[in-house]
Amino acid sequence: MGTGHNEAAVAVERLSKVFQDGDVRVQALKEITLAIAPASFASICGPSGSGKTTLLNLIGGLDQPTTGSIRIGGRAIEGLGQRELAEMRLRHVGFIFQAYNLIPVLSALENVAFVMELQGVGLRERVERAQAMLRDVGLEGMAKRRPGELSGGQQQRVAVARAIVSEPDIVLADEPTANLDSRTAESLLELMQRMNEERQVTFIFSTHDDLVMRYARRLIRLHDGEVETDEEKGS
Amino acid sequence: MIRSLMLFRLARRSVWRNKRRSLLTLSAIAAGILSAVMLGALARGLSDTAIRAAIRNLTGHVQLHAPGYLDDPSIEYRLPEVSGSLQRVLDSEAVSSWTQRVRVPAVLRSEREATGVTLLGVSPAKELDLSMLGDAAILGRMVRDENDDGLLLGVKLAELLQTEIGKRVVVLSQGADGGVAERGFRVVGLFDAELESAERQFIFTGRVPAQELLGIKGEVSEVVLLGQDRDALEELQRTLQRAAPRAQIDDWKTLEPFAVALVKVQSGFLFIWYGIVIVTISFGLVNTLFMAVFERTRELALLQALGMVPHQIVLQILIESAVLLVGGVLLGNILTYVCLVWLSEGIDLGSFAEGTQMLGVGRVIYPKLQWVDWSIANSLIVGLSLFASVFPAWHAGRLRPAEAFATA
Repeated sequence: MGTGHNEAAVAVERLSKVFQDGDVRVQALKEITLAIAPASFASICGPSGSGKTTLLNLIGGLDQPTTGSIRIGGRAIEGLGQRELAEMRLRHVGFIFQAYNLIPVLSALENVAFVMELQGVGLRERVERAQAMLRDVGLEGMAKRRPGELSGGQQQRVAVARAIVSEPDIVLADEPTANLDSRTAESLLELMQRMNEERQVTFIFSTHDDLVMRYARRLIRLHDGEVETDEEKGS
Repeated sequence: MIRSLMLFRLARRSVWRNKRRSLLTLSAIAAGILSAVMLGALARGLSDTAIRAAIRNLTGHVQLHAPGYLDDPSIEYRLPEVSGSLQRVLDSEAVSSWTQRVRVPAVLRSEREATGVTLLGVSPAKELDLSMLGDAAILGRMVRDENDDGLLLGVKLAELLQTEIGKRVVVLSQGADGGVAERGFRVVGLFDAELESAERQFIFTGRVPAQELLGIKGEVSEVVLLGQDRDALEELQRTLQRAAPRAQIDDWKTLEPFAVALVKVQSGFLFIWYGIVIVTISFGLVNTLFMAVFERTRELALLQALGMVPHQIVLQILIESAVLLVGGVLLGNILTYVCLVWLSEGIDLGSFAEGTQMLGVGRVIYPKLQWVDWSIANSLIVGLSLFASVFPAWHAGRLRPAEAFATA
């Protein structure tokens, strides 16, 4: 088990999620309790249907739990309305998805600056921070390119830059390497690991990629909606 | 402010993501505006031509008669010639021109044929603004003055009676004493008017010879006038009524009910057409927006995941709709302007002359754009189409990110 609830970046308690489709009832998560410490580099893994994406969606406020509680930075988010959840995501959570991660009509620079723009950061500051962030992820010359003009790896780097630039408490990455070749995936993981170490941002992955699991310092393995194992590497 | 600019930028770029679809939607909106505004301008032009033709067809804006004349336009109903306070009103600035006429039914007989006509005894110089004689081509000569006893016929009537300039014809009518009034006149000219019906119906001579023929010296059948504004005649009519309390005073709307009915029917059709255009555009626009929303379900979910609140998503889709509408409306209005300039010399409906005669309008229609028609067409199309866009926008705002990611 990880760190205690008091200092947790993310804490879930007796978290359950049931999907109802007509008469069919699927329990995706069964009373999961766990806490993830700040600056963690944790991976939720497990086979398809184990509930890892559902757990990530609930932590990110993209979906509502059936029962149980979720606290992000100590603040309970279950039961919040769509508007409050959007505000919570905007201020506290960064997302990296498997694909279609960027807004296709915006340039790389605009994509990175997008969340800051939503936050109301002024033009000059957000451009400076976005440019610095793009430099940091190795895409200095790509600022004006649209997503369609970038490779898959470059797109994911832009997504990492966007997720981190607004200084969230946690970054949730759902299968971030699934569409990448192994070299690009490794390079992306090194980047995220560096960001985690330098900026102390909490990364939580959902994956079944062995490479991601190798990089993760904590592995939470789900099976049929329950935590099967939870191990901290090097502890 | 920052967020509004961002939403506008996103919406503008999203619209042009699928250029062909957006251009088709834009073209449909432009065609709708073009057809609505142009049809309005043509309908108003047709109405205006019909009204002007009616007014120029001896009607004027206002007429004064002896009570009973309109029901039975015969010699029995007469007014004294204009004088005194009535003349002062008619000579005032509120009246741009006026005349007084003898106007009675008559029979015109040539050497070969006879037909029923309307005899007009006129002061020719004053008729130019108030009758078709101002626009008609004259063969031979015009009746010179109110004492001239030459007779002016329409070209078609001369053909019908097989007569010509220089020949004598006989006019028969009822005299003031109830007996037959009959006199020979020499044809001095033929007029070629826009309306053939006018050529067949009216014959003109000087007012004094007509009065002498009928035995009504110092009396006329009607006084006709043009005001400064044909749609603001109430005050003038009240002033005229005070000056001539025993006269019956009617404006052109009462005298030309067919022209008024034509305007009303056209307005009705215009609003039906506006309705058809608006429904068509709204369906096209809503379809385009729904396609855009369905295609971008994942992207819209991403925007929400990144922190956009649902009402911003709704606003973005509405802005996309507004961008398409404003673009289409601008294009439509530019096309309309080009068409109006192109058609400013009028549309010659010569090949439909018989139809236009039935409507009482001339061969050439001049499109007439009225500010009120333009603004109604534009605001209805923009307003109702934007209203229709609320549905797809609302749908987009209701997307839940996790479900959208799972189903997209």
